[in-house]
Amino acid sequence: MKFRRLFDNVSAGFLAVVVHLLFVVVLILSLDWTPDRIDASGAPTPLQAVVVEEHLVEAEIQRLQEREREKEQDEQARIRELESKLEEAADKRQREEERLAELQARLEEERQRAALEREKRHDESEQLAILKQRQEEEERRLAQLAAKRKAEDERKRRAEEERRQLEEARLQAQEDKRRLDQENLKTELETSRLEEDRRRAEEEKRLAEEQTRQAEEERRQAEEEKRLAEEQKRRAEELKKVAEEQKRKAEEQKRKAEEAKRLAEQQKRQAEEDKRKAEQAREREQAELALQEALAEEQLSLDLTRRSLREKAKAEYVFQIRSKVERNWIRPAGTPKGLKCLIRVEQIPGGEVVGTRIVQSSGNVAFDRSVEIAVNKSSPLPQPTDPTVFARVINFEFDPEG
Amino acid sequence: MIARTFVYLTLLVWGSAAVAQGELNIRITQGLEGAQPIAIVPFGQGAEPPPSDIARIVASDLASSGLFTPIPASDLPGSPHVAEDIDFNDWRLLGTANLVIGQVESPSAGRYAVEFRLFDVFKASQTLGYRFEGGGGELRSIAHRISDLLFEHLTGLRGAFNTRIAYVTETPGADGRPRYSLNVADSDGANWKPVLDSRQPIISPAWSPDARQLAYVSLENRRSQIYVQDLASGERRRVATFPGLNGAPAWSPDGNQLAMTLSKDGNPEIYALHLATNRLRRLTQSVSIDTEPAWSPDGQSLVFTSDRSGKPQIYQMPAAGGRATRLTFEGDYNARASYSPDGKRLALVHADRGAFRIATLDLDGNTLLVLSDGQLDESPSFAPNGSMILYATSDSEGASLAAVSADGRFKQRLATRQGRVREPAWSPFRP
Amino acid sequence: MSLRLTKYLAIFTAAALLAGCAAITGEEDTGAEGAAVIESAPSTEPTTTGMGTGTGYVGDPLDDPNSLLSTRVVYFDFDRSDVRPEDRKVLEAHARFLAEQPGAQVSLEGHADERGTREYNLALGERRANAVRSMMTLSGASGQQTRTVSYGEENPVDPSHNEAAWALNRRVEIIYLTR
Repeated sequence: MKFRRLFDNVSAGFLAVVVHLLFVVVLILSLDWTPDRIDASGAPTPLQAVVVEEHLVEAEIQRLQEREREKEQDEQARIRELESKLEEAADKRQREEERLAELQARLEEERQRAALEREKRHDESEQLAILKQRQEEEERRLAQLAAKRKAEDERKRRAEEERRQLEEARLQAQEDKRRLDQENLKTELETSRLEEDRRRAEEEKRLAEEQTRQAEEERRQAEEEKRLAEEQKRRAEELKKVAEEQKRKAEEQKRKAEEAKRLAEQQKRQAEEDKRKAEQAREREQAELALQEALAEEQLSLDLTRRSLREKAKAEYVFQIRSKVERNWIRPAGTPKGLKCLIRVEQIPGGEVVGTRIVQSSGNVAFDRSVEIAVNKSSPLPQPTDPTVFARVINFEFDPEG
Repeated sequence: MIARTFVYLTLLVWGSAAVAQGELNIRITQGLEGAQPIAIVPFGQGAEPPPSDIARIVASDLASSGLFTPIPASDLPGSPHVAEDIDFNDWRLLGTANLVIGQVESPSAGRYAVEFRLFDVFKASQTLGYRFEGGGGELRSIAHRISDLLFEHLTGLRGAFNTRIAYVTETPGADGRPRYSLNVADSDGANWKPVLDSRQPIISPAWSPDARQLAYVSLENRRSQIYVQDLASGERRRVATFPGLNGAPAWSPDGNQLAMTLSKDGNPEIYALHLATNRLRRLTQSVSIDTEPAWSPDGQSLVFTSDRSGKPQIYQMPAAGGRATRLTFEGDYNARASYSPDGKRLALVHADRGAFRIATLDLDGNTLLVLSDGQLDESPSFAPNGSMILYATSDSEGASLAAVSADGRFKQRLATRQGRVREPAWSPFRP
Repeated sequence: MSLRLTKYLAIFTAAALLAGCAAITGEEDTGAEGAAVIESAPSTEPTTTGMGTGTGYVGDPLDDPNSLLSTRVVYFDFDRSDVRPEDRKVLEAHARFLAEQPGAQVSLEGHADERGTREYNLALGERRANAVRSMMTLSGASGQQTRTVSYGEENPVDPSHNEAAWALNRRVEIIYLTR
């Protein structure tokens, strides 16, 4: 703005100078021309030379001279005037020049100032640059902060997520635990059943052993019989000896002895027959025992398989009944903790509850009543997949947790 | 041969063991905690409809205990009034065990005979049945007695439906100035009638142990005074009008004494006034406020409010007076304690972050249980069977009465008439 | 502000006086309404005569709105009964007035806000009234000239359930029974 004005001023000044110069040139030119014209007019013109009267001419000359003088004087005055004008013009030019110089000085000053200004601006721009840099730094810092915050948020979010996951995990764990508990219960049932099986197997084994012992006993008896037979034989021989003695003593006795001998022989034969029979029986018994043992063993393994299936069916049955009763049990609101009630429930095939009896009261009427209602409301009770696990009597223990 | 027999024998024994094993043992640990459904069939009635709907009153009573959920009449599979009309199979499908039927007959004008029966639907048998007679004005009372019988049969707890409550109402009078009434109503808030009207506030009504009298504080004549009023006759007598404060009357369990707060000796202290002899005993000596005495059910001790620690807290002392021990330590405002009928708990007002709520303090474990959720709940009072606590609550809609089950699970507003309702007190069992 | 408050209090006090006056005279018509008969107010109560309607206050310092005596209510903090320092001058002024007018009597009516139990608040109102009374006695009023009564939370100035209302309700009113 300022510069612009200054520039305008300068051009104006310049224009002024040029105009003035032009002015001076014109003036000078005019000055050159005027004396020429004066010179020309100073010489007598041919027209005037033809004038006849001398005095007239002289007068004319005088007049002309006077006019010439006047003219000259005028001319001189004009010259003086012009000179003074010239002087004035020179003066003016000088002033103009001075002004110009001044203007130039001012211009210079202005330029310097502009330079300073530029410098200053430069400084400012430097400062601006610094500021900008600072701002950038600030922005960078903010960006870092934002990043940090974002990271923090992320961390928080992740922590939250983790917590949530943990919570879920906890819930899952609880669920797992509950399921595990349930499974444990099942396993326990399974285990108890296996235990039962094992006990039964032992029982069978014991019975088999018993059988073996029995067979042994029989064998021992057979041996005893054999021993007895031998004893008899020995005695018969003794008798024979006596008979021979008697024969030797008496004929009569001989016949008797023979008879006795025959008898003894018959007895002996009998004994031998017995012995043979006993042996045969023993052999048969042994074979039979072996067969029985094999049979029993087979029966046992068959039974185990059958039982494990049955146990499974039973566990399922218990689970079904328990689920239904628990669904139907409304515990009285506000009853104290630790109440427990045992109820004996009779059902008929088909699951219809035909009788309930509180075996052990909780001591709280409302609680006992709720137990009774839960069981009755669950009638008909669920049916087992394996009819053999059906139980006519179910003992429920109502024992709320927590 | 013998061995073979053995084996067969063994198998036979196993078989019979399997039969003997036909008993299952099942442990039930999970159950929904809640109210038992009960079907109450609208009672049959003769040509002259009775002035009260017995079945509805009974249903409302049982529901208020929080232990029963009456099944809506529209959901019932039938409306039998006599046993012969019950098809138990239908009722079993409803899943409820408890079925109540009954009828109201009018043998003569204005007289009614009410009978009801309770059936066990699953057993298809009647387990309870009674018959009552009375005038039309007694039908509500008969209904409450039926509720009591059912409640006791089904829960083993004595019902408190046929008891009454006292409370104070403030209503704007015709001249724009408030009017105060002391009222007595059935335990369900119905059947109310004013026993005292006043231009000045009435506070702290207290039932005598025989439920025949009310003691209260009246601020008439620019002072506080304690009166005892006979409910049957409406006559009242002034029992305390000492200089200064006369407040907080509390009956001893034998009905012979009134504990009260008097400031006649300069500072609110607790005294016991023997009503027959007018003999006054001072029980507390402190420079602080001692007020709101309440007797233990065995009459051996008193609890009261004192700010001797700087803030109001509950203290206990022997009934004869003497050293007091502080009972409450939770929060900086615990006041107006009263004993549960079994003496094991206190109901009190407990300030919890600026909200005044009803709480119970277990005297065995000293555990505090906040029961209500209002901002300005006050004046807790145990039902005589200890199952509920009646209290006053106020909010932007006004002041009314509410009841909460003693374990805090079940809350309800009591329907009372218009006006600001306050200072409830639950009566003892009727003699 | 304080001038406005003073004015407000003055107006309020006049209203309270009127209300109190009406309440006393109103006792008569309460009887025989319910099942019980409320005894009529004892006629010996030196109450309503001379109270006027507040028209001729000129010359009476009690009715001069610029006098400390025009302040007839002092306020308290929650669950507190100590007189605030700024209220001491008021009580001293009333005490001086009473000392100069041995025939004058005041009723000091203590009040509490609605928070807390009614009986405890009754006791709290009593203690507040007593605190005012002892301060006035110390400043020259005689014990015969002052009596106290507590209304607890029963007569709130502002029945709203908020802090502002509570602050107005925790108060002791100085009621001139005779001048």
